[in-house]
Amino acid sequence: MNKGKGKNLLSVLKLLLPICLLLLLNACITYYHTVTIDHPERERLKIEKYKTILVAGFAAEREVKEIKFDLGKEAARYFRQALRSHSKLKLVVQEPLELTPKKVDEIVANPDYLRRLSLRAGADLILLGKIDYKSKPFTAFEEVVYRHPVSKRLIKGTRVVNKKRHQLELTLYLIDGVKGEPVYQDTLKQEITYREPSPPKSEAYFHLLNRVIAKFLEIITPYSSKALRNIIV
Amino acid sequence: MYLKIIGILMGAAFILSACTAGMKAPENKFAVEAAQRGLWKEATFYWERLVKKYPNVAKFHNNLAIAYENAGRYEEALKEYQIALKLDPGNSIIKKNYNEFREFYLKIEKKKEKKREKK
Repeated sequence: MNKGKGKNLLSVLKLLLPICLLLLLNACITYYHTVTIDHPERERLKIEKYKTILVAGFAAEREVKEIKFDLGKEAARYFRQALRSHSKLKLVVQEPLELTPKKVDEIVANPDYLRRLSLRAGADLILLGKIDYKSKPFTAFEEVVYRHPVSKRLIKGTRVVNKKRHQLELTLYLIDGVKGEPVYQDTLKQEITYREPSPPKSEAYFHLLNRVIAKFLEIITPYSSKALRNIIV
Repeated sequence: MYLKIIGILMGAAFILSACTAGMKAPENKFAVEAAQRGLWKEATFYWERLVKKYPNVAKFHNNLAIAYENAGRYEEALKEYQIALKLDPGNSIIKKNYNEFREFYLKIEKKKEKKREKK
């Protein structure tokens, strides 16, 4: 009789064993979900005290033969568009100044002129700068994998490829209209490399300009960067 | 012999499930769902409550740190990550989150220092 009871108990416990193991396993496993988070960051320049902005213009450091339009004027137009759609500052519309790199340096060092410019335009903040666009062809080695025509084996090799590097450097000054002095000054650089045949220089220029403007907006508007994190359930 | 092993396993399972009862709090589920939907304020509220209720559960500190990160409260996030790591130093998920956050945090600190130097 006792032996029978013992056997019954053993079979019940044997059934319970996998349940216990499952419970143990469940307690040990960590479940998680990956979520995208924002890293909010404040604008680099405190712009609370400014309400209006004037894009005074940009001076091109060099002429590019293939590009028929004025690099500085196009940059000013692009900056105006970006300010209109992304900034709280009210844009003062005025024809950009005819600028040369030398003149930009002179203007930045002349607070009286800047104060007058600010008064005339009714702008608290003035944006102006110098823009330098250049492109340079170069050759580079590139890794290739191809199938050998006879042995049909995959072979790794290198070959010479012609490429073109486009670079844009923008030196910008943000000037306080009341003081006539720069409150922020920075050089934003962007670079892009295309394989030949490279798209036209004008296209590359606008591509780079868009990137530079995105960086510029971080100066005057709050921005955020994305990141991935794991939330544990 | 069999009886002894099964008995030990059962005991361990029940103790573990009892210990993790707090960790499987329903509020955490709500908070996770809220965070997945982008309702970070709600998620933060739940996790702050959970951290008060179960201060020794690493995952709640980890989740709260993520919520703080998303709100731009980086110093508080750093503290919560550090507590989570202290409580569960072997947890690879917490370690990964912490390392990625630290990389970002150091960058911010460098930027701040540069700003101070400029001034």
